[in-house]
Amino acid sequence: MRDPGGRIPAATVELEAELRDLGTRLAIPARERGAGLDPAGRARSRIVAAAVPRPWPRRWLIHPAGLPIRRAVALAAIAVLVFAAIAGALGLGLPGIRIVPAPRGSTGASSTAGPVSSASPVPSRSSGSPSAASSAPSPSSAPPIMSGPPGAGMGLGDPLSVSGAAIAVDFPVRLPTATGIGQPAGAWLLDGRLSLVWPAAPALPPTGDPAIGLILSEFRGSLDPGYFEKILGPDTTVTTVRVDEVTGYWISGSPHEIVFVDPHGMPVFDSRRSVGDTLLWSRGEITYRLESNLGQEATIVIAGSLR
Amino acid sequence: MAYEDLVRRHQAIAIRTAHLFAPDGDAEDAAQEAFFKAYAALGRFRPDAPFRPWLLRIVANEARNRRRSAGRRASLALRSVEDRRPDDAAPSPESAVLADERRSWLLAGVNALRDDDREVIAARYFLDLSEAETAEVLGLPRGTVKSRLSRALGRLRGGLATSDGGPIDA
Repeated sequence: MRDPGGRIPAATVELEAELRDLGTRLAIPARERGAGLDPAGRARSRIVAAAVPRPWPRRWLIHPAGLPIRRAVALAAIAVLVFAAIAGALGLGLPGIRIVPAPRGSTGASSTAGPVSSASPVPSRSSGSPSAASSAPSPSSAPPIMSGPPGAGMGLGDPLSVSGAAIAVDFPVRLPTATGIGQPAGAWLLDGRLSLVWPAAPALPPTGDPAIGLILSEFRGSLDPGYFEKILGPDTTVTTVRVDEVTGYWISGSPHEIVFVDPHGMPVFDSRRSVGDTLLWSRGEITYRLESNLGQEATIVIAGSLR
Repeated sequence: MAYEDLVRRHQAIAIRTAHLFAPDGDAEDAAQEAFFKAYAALGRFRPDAPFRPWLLRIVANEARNRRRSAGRRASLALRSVEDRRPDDAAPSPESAVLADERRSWLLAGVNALRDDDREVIAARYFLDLSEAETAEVLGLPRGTVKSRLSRALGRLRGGLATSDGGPIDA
């Protein structure tokens, strides 16, 4: 883009100016005044309805310029969060993930939150609001039937050849070696998240998508440590389990989405709706997500067979 | 509620971001979903970091996920003539027509770009974000933003050149 002298060519400058001008002329949906709550108001209603705990200290409240109040306060807050993160990482009773219900369509009562820390099922929690749910499909609605390799139309990303999956990511891909599972029939990549899909078969009963028997996702990232709340749908439970020689989470019930932390420390919302009960665990820098309709024990067996 | 006030300050650009990343989706709904998720994620926001790109990154992720779930990508469009702002330049009928044609060709070129190229063009120029903000919103290193911008601009230039200012094949 630059010439040897480091200058940006005039043609590029002109094109950039044209693009900026073009941006001012694009048709962007505009709100009509008085047309109900705006997005900020709707989000606030959902936060209140779901009783989402204040996720940051009150002193972080924003001053009129929209910036944090004082650096010292901010640094103190960071220290608290770092402590919480370390405590979570060390397993001081704070392991946790954040699981939120399928983003649209969930209904139910309000909730509070706490980390998953028990081996017993966690009572169902819920979020959502009428305003959010009204414009969305029901979580129980059947997924669209799409042609193509298994997993097509699910938002799993770009299709790969199964044989090419191993070179598409920068970490070793592990596959289940449990009897009767066989090889995946489809592979997909989305933002570094690899998803391998097995079609429904006698050994793999149909999931929420009748064509699919098993989805194994592998990606760089970690589960959200300790201090996050979790908000589950009304029919979802989380159980901490031992899997693949580490602590994992068995999430069963209604569709949900998962938040994990990417290698840059940013939360990533994996908005893809689950197709079945989910087993979630991390080993080292890699997080694994296994969805099936096999039940907890059989899914843990498959997870333990990854090689 | 302070959070509501805070995100409302960025609401216009959030809706704009949602639309640019998923033109056929409900941009307002994507924005409110992102605001909700951002609230739940505030514990991870570094208070000494700029809030806008952090928020827009969540908006962009939400819109991108919706676009992918929908399995299609609609095109961006120009405002219709009657919707144009009073300060839109229209020096003469002939030059206005030429300028409109040029913009239409350019937009066709942008629409024909692959997703990652179009997103970087949208963030950098249509949202007029800085290079650093673009990197934050797209979750990319700055070097990748530079190279991707260079590639996308090159493709747009190439399309304009080969078509003599006409529709661009990307």
